[in-house]
Amino acid sequence: MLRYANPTRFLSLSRPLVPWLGTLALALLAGGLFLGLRVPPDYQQGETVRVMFIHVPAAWTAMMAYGLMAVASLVGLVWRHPLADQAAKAAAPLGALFTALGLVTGAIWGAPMWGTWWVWDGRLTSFLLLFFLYLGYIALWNAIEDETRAARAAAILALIGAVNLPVIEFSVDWWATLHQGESILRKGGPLISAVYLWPLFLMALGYTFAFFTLWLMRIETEILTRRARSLMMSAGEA
Amino acid sequence: MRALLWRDIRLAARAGGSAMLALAFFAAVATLVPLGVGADLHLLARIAPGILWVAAVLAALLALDRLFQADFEDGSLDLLALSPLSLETVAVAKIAAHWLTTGLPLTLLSPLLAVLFGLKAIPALFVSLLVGTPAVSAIGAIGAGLTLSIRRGGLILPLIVLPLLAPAVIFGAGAVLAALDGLSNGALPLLGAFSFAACVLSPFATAAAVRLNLGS
Amino acid sequence: MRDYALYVWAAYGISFAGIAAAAALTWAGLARARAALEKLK
Repeated sequence: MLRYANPTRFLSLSRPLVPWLGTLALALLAGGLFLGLRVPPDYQQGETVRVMFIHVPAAWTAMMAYGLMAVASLVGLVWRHPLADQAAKAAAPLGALFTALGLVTGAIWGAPMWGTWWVWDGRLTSFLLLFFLYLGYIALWNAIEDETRAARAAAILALIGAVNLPVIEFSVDWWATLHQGESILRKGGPLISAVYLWPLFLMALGYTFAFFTLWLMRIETEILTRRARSLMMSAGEA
Repeated sequence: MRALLWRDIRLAARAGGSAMLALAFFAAVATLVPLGVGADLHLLARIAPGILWVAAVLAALLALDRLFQADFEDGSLDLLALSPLSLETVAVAKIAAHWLTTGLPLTLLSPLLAVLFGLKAIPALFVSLLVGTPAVSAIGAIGAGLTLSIRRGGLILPLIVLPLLAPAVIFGAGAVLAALDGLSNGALPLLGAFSFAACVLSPFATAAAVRLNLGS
Repeated sequence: MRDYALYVWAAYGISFAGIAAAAALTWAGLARARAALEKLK
């Protein structure tokens, strides 16, 4: 892992990888979309069940992104891995986007299904808080001028906010709620029929690969921006 | 450390008192809400726990950005870092001073404001604020440490601290609502646990935040 | 069940628009950074 601490090494790996990841993401999204729109409507939910295929992946990706951001923050804070801070910083806007998508698609799913656009239960509330945690994290990076300080402060914030992740995950078990309980990752196997699982997993994988593609691109952007900045500074000194 | 605590309290009490400012803000919000929501006492009594809790949290946050900034700007924070006192101890002193000059006065004023709302469960409100406001000071201190080097830091501190304070508001107001309905929903013990954890863990996080800003 | 196709299309539309916008912005940012670096070299 430390071999890729060198930005050049990282770029030599990520540059060829990104087109492949991107193509794979597009293929998975296309496949998921095709299946998702072809699948028969649910006898209870009707057509709106199709929203599940984009709501659940968005929510999963949003949480995964924060997890990655927290791990990167920890690595940057403890081991001073030079790329870790930039990786964490790069993940945040993407995570915020997927959280927003999760919130919006969740509301669109909820309106016809349960007659309400929103409810203040454990899962929705903590997922909304996740969105604010992302915003605060991004704001902190932008507000502190010194890059190293900003990185460390943001890392501490990311780690403290990580407490929210298990809350989102387990809130459906802890409090009786409107949001549905765990129906996929449970003992005894998924509750959802297989015909719905396929588009769901394809979309989930598609979202994940899309995230990784964009994440690697953003990290490269960070690396290049810093290089340009240090070139300008040393040119100024010369 | 006691000297540090006294010094901070005296500073806070003197500086037009962030205490007076917090109390005034608390009262102002408590006055504005009925003006906006209407005078129906039934409604007001119902929303009072939430409104008063939110107002208390916001009032406590008011003076938070200055928690470390004053010392940072005149260099005394560096001196404190070099002193035999650990930064964790400094954090504890500052959190305690902050609570004594904001959280505690707010708690003491709350019964009066509760009367304005026609809230019946006043002891519950008092206890919930007493137990919960230390968490506000503790978690707020982490935010203050993280943002102490930001000049116009004004709004960023609430932005990063409020999501972390959500459990305090949920459990705090929840405890009062439970008392109103005559139920016991475990909110108060949860609030206590949250406050305890926050107070125990915050000095370490706050010290780390201060350290990173003094370092570099 | 009434025709909720509108909801479905709205949700899919917003999701893919969001991802596409993010992709476009990411790509533009990367292109800009590469160009800026080239100019400096």
